[in-house]
Amino acid sequence: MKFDFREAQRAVIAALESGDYQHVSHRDIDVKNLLATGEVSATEVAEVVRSCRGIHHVSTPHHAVAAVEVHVLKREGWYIKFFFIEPGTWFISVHQ
Amino acid sequence: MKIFFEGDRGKALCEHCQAVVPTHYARRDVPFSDGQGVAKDILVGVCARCDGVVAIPSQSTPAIREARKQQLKSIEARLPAVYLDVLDAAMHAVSNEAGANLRKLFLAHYFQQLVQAQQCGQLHTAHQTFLQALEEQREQRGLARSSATRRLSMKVNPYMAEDMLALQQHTEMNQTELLKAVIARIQADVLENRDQEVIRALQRLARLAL
Repeated sequence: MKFDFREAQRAVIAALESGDYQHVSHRDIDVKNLLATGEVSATEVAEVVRSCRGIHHVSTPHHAVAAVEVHVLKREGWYIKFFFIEPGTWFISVHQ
Repeated sequence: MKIFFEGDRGKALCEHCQAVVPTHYARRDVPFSDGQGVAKDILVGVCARCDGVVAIPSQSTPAIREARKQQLKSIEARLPAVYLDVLDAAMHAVSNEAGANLRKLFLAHYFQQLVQAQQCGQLHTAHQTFLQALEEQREQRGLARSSATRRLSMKVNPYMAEDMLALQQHTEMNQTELLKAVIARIQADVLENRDQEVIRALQRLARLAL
């Protein structure tokens, strides 16, 4: 499913606020995913996402599974990368 | 918030299988990607095709955070003896009561300052200058290179460990090289340049700790 910026922003904020999200793992815990390691909180990440505008967003097909659209938000040094596989929100990377 | 249990089923993207795959949830020991430790027995999503860990639910984050802290509590390094001589001399110059027991405090202070001021770029230069000065002194007196080493061993709190890890990532130095470079910086500030601002800050710290 293809989300535009506003839809992606709304969905990812809702996931962060409810705690209903997961992290992508490649058989390990990515230390660049500060949300997964607990070094930043979901509230902090939601604030960054909320402050983003369309110019801070790009989306591209996932390199391994093209049907999955990967969203990247870059804002004030933050790099937040995620995708959706219905019904879930998946974080690949959250770092500064 | 949805809570996952062992045996729950779902789907996830598996890079190894290059597909969205069925998963089941189970407890596994999962390593950190930088090779520093393992989060033991955390709940994860496992690919039904390749059996690899592909998902980490948000409920596993507190256990991951705890594992990360536990893994980072011990710092052990073997350094050329001159580095610890210099560190101890700098501490003694700050306070004649400061001994080896305050090494950790001084290093922790520097780690924090370097991270906050984003000055880790200057560490390489400080270390090179120190090495050059040592080499010049050795050559002037016609001395052979020493192979003597001393062990630095510290149990550190998670904040110091995090600062150290951040500096390692920024400088791309390993733990031993970082310690050597920071000691070179302390030597420059305290013994060479006699930076009064730094010395006063270290004296305040030493007073609190003694």
